[in-house]
Amino acid sequence: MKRLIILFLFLILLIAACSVLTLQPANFGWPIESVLPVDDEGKVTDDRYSIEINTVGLFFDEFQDSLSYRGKEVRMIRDNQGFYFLTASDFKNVYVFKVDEGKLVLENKIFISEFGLQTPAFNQRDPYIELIDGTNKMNLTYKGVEGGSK
Amino acid sequence: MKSNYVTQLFILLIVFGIGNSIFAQSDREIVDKFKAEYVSIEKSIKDATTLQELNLVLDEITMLKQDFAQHKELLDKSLYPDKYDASMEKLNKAYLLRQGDFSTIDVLQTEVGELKQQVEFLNQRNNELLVQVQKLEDQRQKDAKSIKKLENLVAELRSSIRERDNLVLSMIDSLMPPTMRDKENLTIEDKDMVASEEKKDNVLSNVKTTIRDNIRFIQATSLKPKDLESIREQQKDFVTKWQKVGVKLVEVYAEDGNKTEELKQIDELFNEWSTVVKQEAWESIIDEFSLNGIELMSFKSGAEFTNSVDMFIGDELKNLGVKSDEESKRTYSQFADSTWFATIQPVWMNYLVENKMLTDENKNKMESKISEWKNALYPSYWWIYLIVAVVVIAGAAFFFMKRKKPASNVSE
Repeated sequence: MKRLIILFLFLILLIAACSVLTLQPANFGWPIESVLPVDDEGKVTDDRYSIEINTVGLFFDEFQDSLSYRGKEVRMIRDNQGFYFLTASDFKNVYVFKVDEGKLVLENKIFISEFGLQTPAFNQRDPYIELIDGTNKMNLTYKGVEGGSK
Repeated sequence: MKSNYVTQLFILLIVFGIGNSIFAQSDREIVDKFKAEYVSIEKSIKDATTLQELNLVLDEITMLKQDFAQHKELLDKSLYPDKYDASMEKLNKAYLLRQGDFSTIDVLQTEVGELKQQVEFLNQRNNELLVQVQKLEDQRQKDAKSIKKLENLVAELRSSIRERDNLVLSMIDSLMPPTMRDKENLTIEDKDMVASEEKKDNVLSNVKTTIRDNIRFIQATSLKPKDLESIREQQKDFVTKWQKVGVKLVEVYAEDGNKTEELKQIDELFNEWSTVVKQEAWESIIDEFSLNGIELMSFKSGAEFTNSVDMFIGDELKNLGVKSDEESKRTYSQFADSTWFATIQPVWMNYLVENKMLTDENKNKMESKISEWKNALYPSYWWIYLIVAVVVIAGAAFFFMKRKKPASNVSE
């Protein structure tokens, strides 16, 4: 019995020691998208949010061309949960990334149009990210399209 | 009936759907549009050159506020560091500040307009006074009664010139306010404004007239050290103020040949004014002697003054045997009693020495020469008095000794 009590106390201590401090709720959403020109090295920089991302991989994934980033601009927004949504003109997809140590890791690739987006833009519409392209719009989450018109 | 209702609902949904689709707008686009219009209004405020132009901007601010009020929440979140209200407030403040500038300019323009009229009046009046003073100066030796009138006129003219000087100084102030003077480089707008104000009020021409009149005043009148001190002060004020503005005006008129020439003339007039003030002391001293019938050789420095006095007395000494005694004594009296000891020594000597226009050595030299002249005219007979005194004392001593002698005989 005495051994059981000691074991029980030991487990309680172990559980307490392993619990992680959590601050919640947290809202990571950006009020508006950022429209960022891609530089010669394929990087985009946002001064307001102090973020710099290499987009060469993104353009290669979309166009299968390692130099397709030239002269382009990326539209980027962050949703309330902290996922980054990226797309650009002529993209067929919206890419959703999550943050990792010193990198963005693809969470989801949302197919939008076979013909590519003409003038895409993101709006923050909590809990969604609204994607508009000309007169078309739809709501997105990191999981995919949540309805809307096309 | 039911199918009719469904049809209406369907149409309504389509209309709303299309409307919704048509009005789909990027938030980013709204924010960018706001920012662009904001910057454009800011520029309009800055670039407005008249109050009328600025008033048009007020409508633009109102329109901006109305158009974007519905997006206030979005703008509050998106604008950084200022939010929507702070941005609008900033625009309003910028507008009011600029409006204040125009009000100040308006007030200054009115002031300058009034100053211009006063200056024109004083220019005319000073001219008349100068002519009268000149006439009286010419009569001065002939008509002693007019001296009092002349003195009054000179005082009036001095005060009138001083008044006009102050008005022209105010004009210079209005032409280029101190804030503009302190700028390292004037903007094109600043230069245009200064040039237009100058043209309107003829400021450069007024500055020239002012300096010329001051020169004429000094040349037409015979001044005392106190007046000269006051003129020097006035001149110093004028030069200090002009130096600050003049440099900037050269910048304004860098490409205008006529105006550059005019600025050059003003600089030359300032130099002439300064020289005339320095000369005036000597001219006034010459006038003092001349007024008492003594014509000295002209001089423009302490050394020349000493030399002139030395030569005059030397000539008088040489002429002692030639001229009558009475005439020589009258000349001495006019020179020494009526001029030197009455005016030059008590009134001018301190001014000349303090302003380093005359050395102590030269002063002593002149005084010793005057003393020599006096001795020649009025020789001292001290040796006769000495002989008389010796004779009297000797006589007295002899008398006492003679009286003592009989007394000693009696005792024996």
